[in-house]
Amino acid sequence: MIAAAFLGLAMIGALVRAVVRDRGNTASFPWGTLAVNVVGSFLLGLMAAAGPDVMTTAGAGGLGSFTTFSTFSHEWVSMGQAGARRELVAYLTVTVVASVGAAWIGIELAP
Amino acid sequence: MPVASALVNGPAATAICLGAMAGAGARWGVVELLGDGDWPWGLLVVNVIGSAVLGWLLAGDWRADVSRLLRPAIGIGFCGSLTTMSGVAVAVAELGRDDRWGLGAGYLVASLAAAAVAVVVGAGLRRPAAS
Repeated sequence: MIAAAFLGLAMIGALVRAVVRDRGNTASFPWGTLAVNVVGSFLLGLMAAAGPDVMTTAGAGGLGSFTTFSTFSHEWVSMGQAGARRELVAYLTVTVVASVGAAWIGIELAP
Repeated sequence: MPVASALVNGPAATAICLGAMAGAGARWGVVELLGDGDWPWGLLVVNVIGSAVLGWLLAGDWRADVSRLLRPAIGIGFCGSLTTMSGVAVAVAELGRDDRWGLGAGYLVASLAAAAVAVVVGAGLRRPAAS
């Protein structure tokens, strides 16, 4: 049951991520990826006080798949290779600060 | 819009789902194996491996891929779900709340640097074969 929920939520997380990136990313800036990572980090922080079953299924399964580190890394490395230094610095800084900040706020607000 | 609906309705959605199950399952296994403590080795390892695979995948010409579904399956599904930002963000935020910002910052920088190197190395492994 836990395994099925984990896998089901992982699929949903990946599909929602795909749609948000598809709609949100522009040629010059990956707004969609940024939104996915910040929102997912906030929601995982909110689950800080949740039980192990919720953490495994919705946390590790759903939000783990919803947010991504590989696409983020590929995007900012590509910005560097294309010589887009301002975008690179902005994307890297905003993603890191906003994701950690959002996780922190989520933990603070956790019931 | 057409791309978004194709993602949800078409064979690409099935490819993403299969890749996501494999990626998330593999992440769970690695985290179980390597632990999830103050320095989450499990997350660091999956983030580096996923970034290397994605670098390799996207360095090639998609027309030369075995199937057009390889990119959504491996890129969006497997690599996207194998790697995770939320786990890293929460781990760093918890270290910060513990007044251990140094360790948190170190983990963050190590993750960013190792994943970036992995993207470049992965791409380097693909390019000779693609040209």
